[in-house]
Parts: sequence; structure tokens; C-alpha cells
Amino acid sequence: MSSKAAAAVNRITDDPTDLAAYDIVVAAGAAAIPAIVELLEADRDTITMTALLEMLKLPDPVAALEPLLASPDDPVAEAAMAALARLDDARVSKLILANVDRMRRDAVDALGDHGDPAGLATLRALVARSSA
Amino acid sequence: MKKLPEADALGDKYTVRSLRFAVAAIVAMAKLGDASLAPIVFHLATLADPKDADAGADLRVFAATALSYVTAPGVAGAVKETLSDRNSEVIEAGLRSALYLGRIQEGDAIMEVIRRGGKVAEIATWYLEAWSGEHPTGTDKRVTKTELDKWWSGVGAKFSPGVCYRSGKPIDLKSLVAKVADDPLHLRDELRIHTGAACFHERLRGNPVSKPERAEVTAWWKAHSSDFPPGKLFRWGRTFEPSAVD
Repeated sequence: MSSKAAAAVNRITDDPTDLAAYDIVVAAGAAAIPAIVELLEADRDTITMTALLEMLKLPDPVAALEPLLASPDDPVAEAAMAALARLDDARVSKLILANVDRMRRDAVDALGDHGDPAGLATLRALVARSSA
Repeated sequence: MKKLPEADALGDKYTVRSLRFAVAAIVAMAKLGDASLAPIVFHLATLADPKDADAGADLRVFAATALSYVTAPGVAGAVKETLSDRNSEVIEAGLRSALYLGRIQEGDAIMEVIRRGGKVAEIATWYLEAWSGEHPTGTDKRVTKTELDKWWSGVGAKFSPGVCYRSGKPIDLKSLVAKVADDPLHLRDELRIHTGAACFHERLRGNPVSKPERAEVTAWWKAHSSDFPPGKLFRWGRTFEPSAVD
């Protein structure tokens, strides 16, 4: 399945209008992650790859995406942060807040996108500190 | 340079980079329902140098775009002011924010951009058509001030104060949701801002809408359609009276 998913990810990179490829990637779920990560590591098509990561059907998305946050490759960590932010899962806020100092802007965007008011105090403090 | 009205919130030493970061954080706060620092965005969106149209334009574009996420008294005034900027990219960002407000005041402000002419007038005409549901000339040709005024004198009475419009009718997200596949570039972005819903994958920009995405959108709309009464102001899933931005 992973080779089929990888081929479909590459098809989307070659032709973003290849609708059948999206079906394969989304349905592949976790099997598509290595191919997406490979392209993110190469800093290729990062916006589309981030969107694909957001769309994957995963049984436990937080468990699947959390390890990517620790990636030394910024596009991988940033895409994981963006995908996590879209999840309606109580574990996400803690993950975002734990990465605010390291990921700054991406974490700020994620706090807003995720929608947990628990992020407000951090955001207020960041605005106040943004002149530092 | 104007004095920053919320200087206490930002401290007294700031750079363009730190200001962009502050705007991003204020947008995130607005998405969470706290627009208390919105005046900082108003100020930055309109902080133009009268001697140099391009000085600081990147920051103004960023802030003018941010206005589309914020609902607070003063947003409409700031959006209107961005439409008078001398930098065309700031005006383009302001046009997008004006469409997403969509009241008759914003329709008037978009028409003012068209009347001034120039390249940005063509872009403004696209926004006017998106707002009013029709091109003033009924064709793709460039509209003159006379044609615009004649058209508006004929159709203006259809639009009432206190209502947000899209495509010539009180905004109804149902019709925008139904058209996502026809205009994914604009409607993914617009619906994401109105609803905050994760199913609108704005990063895909103009890529076609796939079956899985269409299924996500359909399921979301089925669950949330009653949250968005036509004609109101929607921001990131919240519903406001259109006057909330005066």
C-alpha cells in the first residue's frame, strides 16, 4: 500500500489536478506519510504536502503526527503543526503550547486555528513580548 | 509616523518582523474570540508614508489581510482606509477584506476604487461582481465611471443597510459551499475565513476539489448549516450583526 500511496503523492506533485491520486492518498492514511515527509524534507511542494497531511484519514491522527513535530526539518515540523491544529482533539493544545518557543510563528497560527481558548493567555503574552 | 495607539501592548521597541509576529498573534486571538488588540492591526494596516507609497507596504499588506479575520468596532473603517492606499498590493488585500465584510458600505468603497481607475480598478471590478452578482457592463470589458454610476443607480436599491451580501444576495454560505468546486481558489479561502472549518483546505488554492474533500465539506455543512443565518457577518465560525465592525 505504501508504494501505491507514494506513487500517488508523486502524481499530485507532478499534476495537482490528478483527482484520482487524492483519493488514493487520503484513503492510504498513515501509509502515505513517509512519501509526504520525504517531499517536505526536500522542501518540495510544501503547501500541497501540508494540505495532504491535513486530509489523511488516520485512526489516531495525534499519535501519527506528533512525532513529526520533532523533525529537524522545518517544513516537516511546520506541516505537522498545521495538520495537528485542524484536529478536534484535546491533546493538541498541549502539543502546540509545548512548541511555542521553538516554532514561534507556526505555533501562533496553530493556536488560532485549533480554537482552544486556553491559548489566549500565551498569545497575549507573545504580543506583549514581540517587541523584545 | 503616527503614534501607535496600543503602544503599551507592544512595548516601545519593535521591528517589522516583530510587528508581523504581533499581527499573527492578534489574528490568532481573534480566531479564539478575543479582538481586544484589533486597533494595533488597524493602525498597521493604515500606517502609510505619504512620501513613499511602497515604504512599509509589505507590513500594510499583511495587516490589511489580517483585517479579514478580525471582528471589532473599527474594522470597516480600517478596511476602507486600505482601499485608499497608494500601493496596489495593499488595496488588493483591502478589497478581499471588503468582500468578506460585504455590506453596502464595502460595496461603495469597492466602487470608489473602480472610479479612480488604473490597473487595480480591474481587480476591484472582479470583487464588485463577486459582491453584487453582476458585472456593471454585463460583459468582461473595462467599466467606465459613467457606466458604473448608471449601473449602480439601477441596482443599488436592491441592497439594504445592515446586511452582508455576496453574489447580489444576503450572503448564504449554502450557495458558496455548493460552488467550491467551481472556484476553489477563492471559495476555499473565503469559506475558511467565514467558518473556520477544517474541511476548507485553503492551502490547496486552485487545485481541483477531490472526492474526499467534497465529502468532508458535505458532511460539515450537513452538521453546521443552521449556524450561519443568511445576511449576517460570519468570522471563523462565529455569527455577528453586520454592524459589529462599524
